[in-house]
Amino acid sequence: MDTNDSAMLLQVFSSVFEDFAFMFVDADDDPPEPDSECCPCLLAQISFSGRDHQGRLEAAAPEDLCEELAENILGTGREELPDDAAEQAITEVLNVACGYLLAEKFGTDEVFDLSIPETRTLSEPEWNELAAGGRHLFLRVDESPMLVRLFLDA
Amino acid sequence: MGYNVLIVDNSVIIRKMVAKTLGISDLDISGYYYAENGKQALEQLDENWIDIVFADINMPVMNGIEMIEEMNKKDLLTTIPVVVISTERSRDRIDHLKSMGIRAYLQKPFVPEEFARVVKELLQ
Repeated sequence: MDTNDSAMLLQVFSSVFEDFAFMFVDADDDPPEPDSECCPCLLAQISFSGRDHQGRLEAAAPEDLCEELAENILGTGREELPDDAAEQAITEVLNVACGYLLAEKFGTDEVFDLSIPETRTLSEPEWNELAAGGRHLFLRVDESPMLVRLFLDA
Repeated sequence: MGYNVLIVDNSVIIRKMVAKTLGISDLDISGYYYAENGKQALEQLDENWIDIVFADINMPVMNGIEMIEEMNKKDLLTTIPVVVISTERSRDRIDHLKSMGIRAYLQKPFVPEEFARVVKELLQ
């Protein structure tokens, strides 16, 4: 990812987390250390397709962070959350971030169709491989690690 | 007598968030109805008296635009205001939604005060 995309992703995710859940995001220069305590993690992906641009946005984060996100969005305790609250919360953040990012990067003239976001659980080796791959932007959300990446089709 | 609202979004988080925002407003809401997509929403509209609809666009099975088209065919948009709550930022698409007859458009994540103001204007 180029520097402009990284800066834009940081700006977009910071804004979405703050507006949605009153949580604060910082960029992290170094990838998260391998850490079994942060797993299981969730990986969420959304694709977009417009007249001139196609691609996808993905985010990975520990399930605990996603549950905290759900708690903050709804202003409720963990015991009151629906069963799949963690998946739903990261999915919704990704959905909102994607709409915001596309407008920031390509303007508001191009119409984009977004896919229904999908999530899956990442095992500890998968999370560590993603973190060590060097292709994602490393974020800290209230001290928890998060990985985000924008893929643009050629 | 209070208002019946229909909240249409495939995300349970957003459905709860909209309901909670309505709950803390001073609007008199007597019934909350929910749907995960446009098809379920049309079924709810057939079965219940609904005063206002809050709908997302990007949903599986039947998306929000298809739902609004179906509501238009049944002439429901003249009597039931639809508020779209979406991540959509394309000017053309928002203009298209307004030309289809939606009464308001709110971007996610919405500000509760703005949400309450828009809903009050539509209902009162």
